[in-house]
Amino acid sequence: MNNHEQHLRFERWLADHAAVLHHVSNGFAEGADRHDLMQELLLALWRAAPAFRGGALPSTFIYRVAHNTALTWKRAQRNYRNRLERFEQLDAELERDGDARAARERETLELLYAQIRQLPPINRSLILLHLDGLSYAEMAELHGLSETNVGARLTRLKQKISAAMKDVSHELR
Amino acid sequence: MNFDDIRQTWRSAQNQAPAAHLEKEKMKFFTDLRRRRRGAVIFMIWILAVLTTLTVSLGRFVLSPDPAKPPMNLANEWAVIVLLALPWICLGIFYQKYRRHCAAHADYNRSISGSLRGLLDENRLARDRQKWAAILSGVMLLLIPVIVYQLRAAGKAGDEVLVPAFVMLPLLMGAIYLGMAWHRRWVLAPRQRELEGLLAAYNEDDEASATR
Repeated sequence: MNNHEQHLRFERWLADHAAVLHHVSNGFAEGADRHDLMQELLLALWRAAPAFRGGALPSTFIYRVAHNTALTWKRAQRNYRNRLERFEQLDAELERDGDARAARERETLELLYAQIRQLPPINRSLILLHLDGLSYAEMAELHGLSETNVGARLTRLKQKISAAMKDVSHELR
Repeated sequence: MNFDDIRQTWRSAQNQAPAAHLEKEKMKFFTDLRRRRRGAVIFMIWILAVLTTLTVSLGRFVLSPDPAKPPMNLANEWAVIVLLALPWICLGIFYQKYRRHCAAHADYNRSISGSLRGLLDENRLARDRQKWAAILSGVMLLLIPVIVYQLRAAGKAGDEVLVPAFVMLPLLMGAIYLGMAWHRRWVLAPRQRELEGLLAAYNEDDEASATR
């Protein structure tokens, strides 16, 4: 695969699956670190693009690369001030929907992501995949776990998240 | 809030990557990618240039010696050749190990736990490389007295080599050793523990669900 083809594939994947990267970066990092993780995800995807042979769906491949990168990503300690400034600048440039319902959804999502980030890394990955609509079989294959194991973990995780969000939604009202 | 409500919020437009945001991330990524590539190429060129310059100068010295100086006698001055061959041998070993590692872990289609095992193997490889670099530095230090002795015996060096050979070089080697020890202690060892922890988390729950 030449550089041009790699570029085309990368752009196509980003156009179709940007939400996956957005969910993973928010689920594994917060604040300015989200941008660092997003950059790591983009780099991992760029590097992996030539290895995609079409044996699986592009989305499965992207999930694998993104979750693998996020699980082993290490928060950089250096240049935190620079990153924070860059993050604040980026955030300020974002046009926000002024609708009250949208604002409430954003707030709920922030709280949901905060709950997800408190989970152990592998469970964090599983709940993100589940929320993105992957089946137990897909998650089991992706992680190298048995379906029973995935099912047992997700039952506990869903209860835990629902309970935590119930408390939160009371606070929001 | 039940899980269905959570799922519904998750699918809302507010949980999508804003297009302008993504565009900025992409632009930054491509700028960094170009910088990374340039950095990697410069580093490789620099290493190869240093090794090639040293080897070529020695080759010229051996093959077409300066008529004003006594010709090189390999039987009596072999230590210099060994010293210059060592980095090339080490470079060859690193490359071979890297190729073997890539061949063993090139499959992007395997599971995430499989990839974590690959990363752990990569970490082991990095520690292995350090071991080889430490051995190489040790052998070089042992060779220095032999080289100085041989060059002085052949009349090609005088007292001026004593300070560089027995003070500056050991200091440089000491600094390299300290750098490697720091890297092992603060980078490689925590990474190894982190990867082992992640893999253990897979196994723990596997065992738990098997006993359930």
